[in-house]
Amino acid sequence: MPLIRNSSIQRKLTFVIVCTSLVGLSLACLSFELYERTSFRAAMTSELSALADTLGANTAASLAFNDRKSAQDMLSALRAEPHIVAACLYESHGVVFAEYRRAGIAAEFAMPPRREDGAQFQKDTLTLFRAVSLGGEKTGAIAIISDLGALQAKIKQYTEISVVVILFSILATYVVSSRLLRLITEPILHLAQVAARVTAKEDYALRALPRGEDEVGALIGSFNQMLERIQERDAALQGAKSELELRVQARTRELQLEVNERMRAEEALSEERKILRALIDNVPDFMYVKDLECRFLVANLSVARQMGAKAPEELLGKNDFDFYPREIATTFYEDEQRVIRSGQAEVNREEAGLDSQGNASQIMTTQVPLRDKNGRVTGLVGIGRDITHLKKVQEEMQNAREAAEAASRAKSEFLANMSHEIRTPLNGVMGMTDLALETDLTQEQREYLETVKMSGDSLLTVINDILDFSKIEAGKIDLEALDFDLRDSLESTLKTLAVRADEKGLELLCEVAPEVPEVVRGDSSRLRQIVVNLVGNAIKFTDSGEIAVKVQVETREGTECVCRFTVADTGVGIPEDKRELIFKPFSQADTSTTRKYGGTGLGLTISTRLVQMMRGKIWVESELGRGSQFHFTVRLEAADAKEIKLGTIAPPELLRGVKVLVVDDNRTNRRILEGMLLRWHMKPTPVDCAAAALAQLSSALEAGEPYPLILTDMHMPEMDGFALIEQIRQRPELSAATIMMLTSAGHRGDAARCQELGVAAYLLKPIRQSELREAVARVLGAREQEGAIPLITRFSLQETREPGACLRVLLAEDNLVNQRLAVRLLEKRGHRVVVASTGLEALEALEKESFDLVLMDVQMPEMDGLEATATIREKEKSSGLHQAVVALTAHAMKGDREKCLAAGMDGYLTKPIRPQELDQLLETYAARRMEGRSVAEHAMPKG
Amino acid sequence: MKAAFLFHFAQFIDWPPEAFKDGGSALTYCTVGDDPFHGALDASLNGKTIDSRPVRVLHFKQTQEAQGCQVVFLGTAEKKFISAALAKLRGTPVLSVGESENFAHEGGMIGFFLEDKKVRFEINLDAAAHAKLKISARLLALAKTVIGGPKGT
Repeated sequence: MPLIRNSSIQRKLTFVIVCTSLVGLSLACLSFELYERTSFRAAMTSELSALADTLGANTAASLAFNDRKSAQDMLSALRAEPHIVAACLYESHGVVFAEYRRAGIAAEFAMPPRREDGAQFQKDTLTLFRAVSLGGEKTGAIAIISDLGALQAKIKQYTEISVVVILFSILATYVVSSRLLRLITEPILHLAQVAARVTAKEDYALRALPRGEDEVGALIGSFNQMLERIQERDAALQGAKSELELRVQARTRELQLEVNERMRAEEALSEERKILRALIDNVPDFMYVKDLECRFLVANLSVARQMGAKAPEELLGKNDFDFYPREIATTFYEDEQRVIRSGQAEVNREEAGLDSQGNASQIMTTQVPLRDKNGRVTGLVGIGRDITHLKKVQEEMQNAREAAEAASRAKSEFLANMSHEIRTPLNGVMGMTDLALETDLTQEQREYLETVKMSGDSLLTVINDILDFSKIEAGKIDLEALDFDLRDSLESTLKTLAVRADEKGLELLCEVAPEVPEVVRGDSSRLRQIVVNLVGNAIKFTDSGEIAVKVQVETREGTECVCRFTVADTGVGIPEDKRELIFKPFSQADTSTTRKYGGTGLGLTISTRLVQMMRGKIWVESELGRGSQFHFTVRLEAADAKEIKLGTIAPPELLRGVKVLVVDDNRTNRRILEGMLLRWHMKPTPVDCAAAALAQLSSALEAGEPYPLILTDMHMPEMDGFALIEQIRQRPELSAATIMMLTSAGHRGDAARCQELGVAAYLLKPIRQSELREAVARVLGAREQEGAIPLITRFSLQETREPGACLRVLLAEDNLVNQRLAVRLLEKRGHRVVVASTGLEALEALEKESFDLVLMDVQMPEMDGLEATATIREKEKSSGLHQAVVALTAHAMKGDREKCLAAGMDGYLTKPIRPQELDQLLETYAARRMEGRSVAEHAMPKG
Repeated sequence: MKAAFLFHFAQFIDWPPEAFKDGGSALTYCTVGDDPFHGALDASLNGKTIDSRPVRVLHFKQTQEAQGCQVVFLGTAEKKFISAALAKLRGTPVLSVGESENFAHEGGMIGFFLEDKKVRFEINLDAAAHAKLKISARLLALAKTVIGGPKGT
């Protein structure tokens, strides 16, 4: 087949035609042959039939007459037919009657048995059976057997002819087709040729010549068209190719540039990488990057060293299990896997590790998951630091701190104990001395005892200073932040110092600027301490003149204000070179000062520390011989001016618009009084001497507006207070006014003289605002009602303030001396005292009766004050009442106050009990009892 | 055997039309004298047809009675008789068959005789021709001897 497939069209077609012809002819011949054969056979059959019939007819008679011979003779006539092989005549029963055999046929040739009529073609014989009938009756049969020679010969002949004919035809076909095929093949071959040439030379300009308009022609046409298109496309392609080449060139140039650039960038990167590598390798911390399986991707030198490898490269691809024992490696692995899986970084995790020598170490590790640009975790970055040493140091520090704290605690305890141990007996000494002084004594005894008292006071001061100083140095001082009335606090402080000032004939003045907030938040007791110190010093170093305490606001920022306190005296002054020194501990301006002036030299130091703690400054301005001004600033927070004034029972309308004549030679004093009076919306007119006062009174009277109230100082030059009053009383038209006298010191007999002169009030300076206000109010109010006006003194004020001011006080104190002391103090003031020696006794007493106040000693046997108070408070939870409990304690340590307050105490008094403080406390509770104010708003003095 | 022959003879012989009454009348075989076949002829011929004529067999005593037959068989017994019979039948379309010696020579048309134990017959063609009976050549071919005719002995 391939042979045919690959031969030329010509041959193919020829072959096809020849084959076709062959097949056609063969078929035809075959058909004809078959037809001939069939017809020949039929002919033969009919021939033979006819013969048989004839013979039959002829031999019928023989058969009928049983004449075998004649039959046989007749049969032998068949000799004439060489094709007849044999013939046989049968009787009606099928028995052979007569036979004929052709010459040469073997005698054994068997006659076929009688069969049906008909012809039967066997391999090379035709056997024909015909019935012989006589007169319409079948009398027998005749069989003639003929060979097929004729047929075969005919066929042979026919075949031969066929073959010849076929051959000739083929030949003819071949020849003719060869010629005629050209019609078809030529154009095709031409096309093929052209195509081959086109392909060979790649010359698309060639064209095939069209021949005819048949399919081949169309093909040629298409072919040509195709070539044309190809040409066009070629051209286009060429064009595109050139363009492409240009572009490629351009691109190549660009790429080249890019490549150059990239190489540069890579170089830069490489450099950077080297730097970074150098950096991370030289960092003492461990730096590494691990993959998802915790195998090292990157590691620095430190890591390598830690793991015991020589170079970081050795670590790559390995994980902790290759270097560490299983347990440790498992821990590391789990930690890292946690970071990877959760996607959460773990920062500064402390873990135990091993170094290459197998020593245990502490490592602080930070591990952060590493993410690819899609945000998926691909590994982690770790940084670790060996903190073994650090940890050790920390431990040591911890130990040191604990030791220091222990030492500090020991110090505190010591101080506390000391405080208690020292103060308790001292309290006893001082208290008893006071009590003794209140009894009848001879002059001599009084002198002695007063000396004892003075010494005791000094001793107490010294001890307090020392303790304070120790506390400060030990850092055991805490500043409170409680609300308190600045003016009140200051005034009460100064009151305690007034006596000393007056003794030396010094004026003690107090002036608080109006801008200064009424209520501030701070440590009032420490403030008081500073003021006491400075004023005390001022008194000490001033022989004559005045000591003025001023308070101003320096700056104000929101609620915070910086107040400047000034203590100005007219004393000896401080030399310049000593001005710094005096603030230092244990130094004084003059070492001989100790002799002359007394004092520990700690006062200013303590004040300085306190001022510093209050975030202020302290400094001094001084002129030798003229005086000194000590300034200090403190930061205070202005608090809401809650009503913390107590005991003011005077309605403001009473005072409004009332004209007052103020007589005082001291300018500062006048200013102070004026200020106070203006505050209360009164109309003060200050004058500086008695003469001026008289003049004012007269002119006012003439004007028709007499003064309803006169406020006069006692100590004045030329004409003193009493003289003035006498003068006024001598002129009846002036004496309608109410007169109040203010004096620095209360001498005996003054009160009586005032009474004589009809002075409405006799008050001591420095006077507290509230006191003055009350006095004024009472004086004016009393004026409304006629009748004898009782002299109002400080004491009487006290008394009027506390009508039936007999408080029932429970004193819980175990120390007998202190007990007696406190009891005396209280009873002298007219209060009723019940004594308990232990907390338990106190509780029992409280069950039996009610008390206005409980003074609870903190340290008692069996049950101490704190516990007892706590118990009281517990009980009160259900009843809702509130028993006033004030602590008495020798401790003055930081924290004590908190403890007392925590236990439920309302206040706090230190032992030794200062009578003044006790008085204040009692005043407070008496007033409170009257007013019914809540306890929580009041800030208790500390002392 | 002879009966069959007789039958077959008729098959090869054509009678002139006047021999029969009509087209469908029977072809009669007659025996004169005693039946030599003793009924065998009846047995074998009855019911058959020749040329679509039914075949019947009649037996007569006298020859004159047999004139209506087409085939008369004369038994051997009556030699003289035969001659008389033949003389009577001469010219009539009756096939005379006999078995006497020289039957054919005496004017009988077909004469049986035995040869080698086989039944052969002779045919007198002249007589047949005289009687206007055509005898098929085939039959003639089978006869041993044919008297008269073109073939003649």
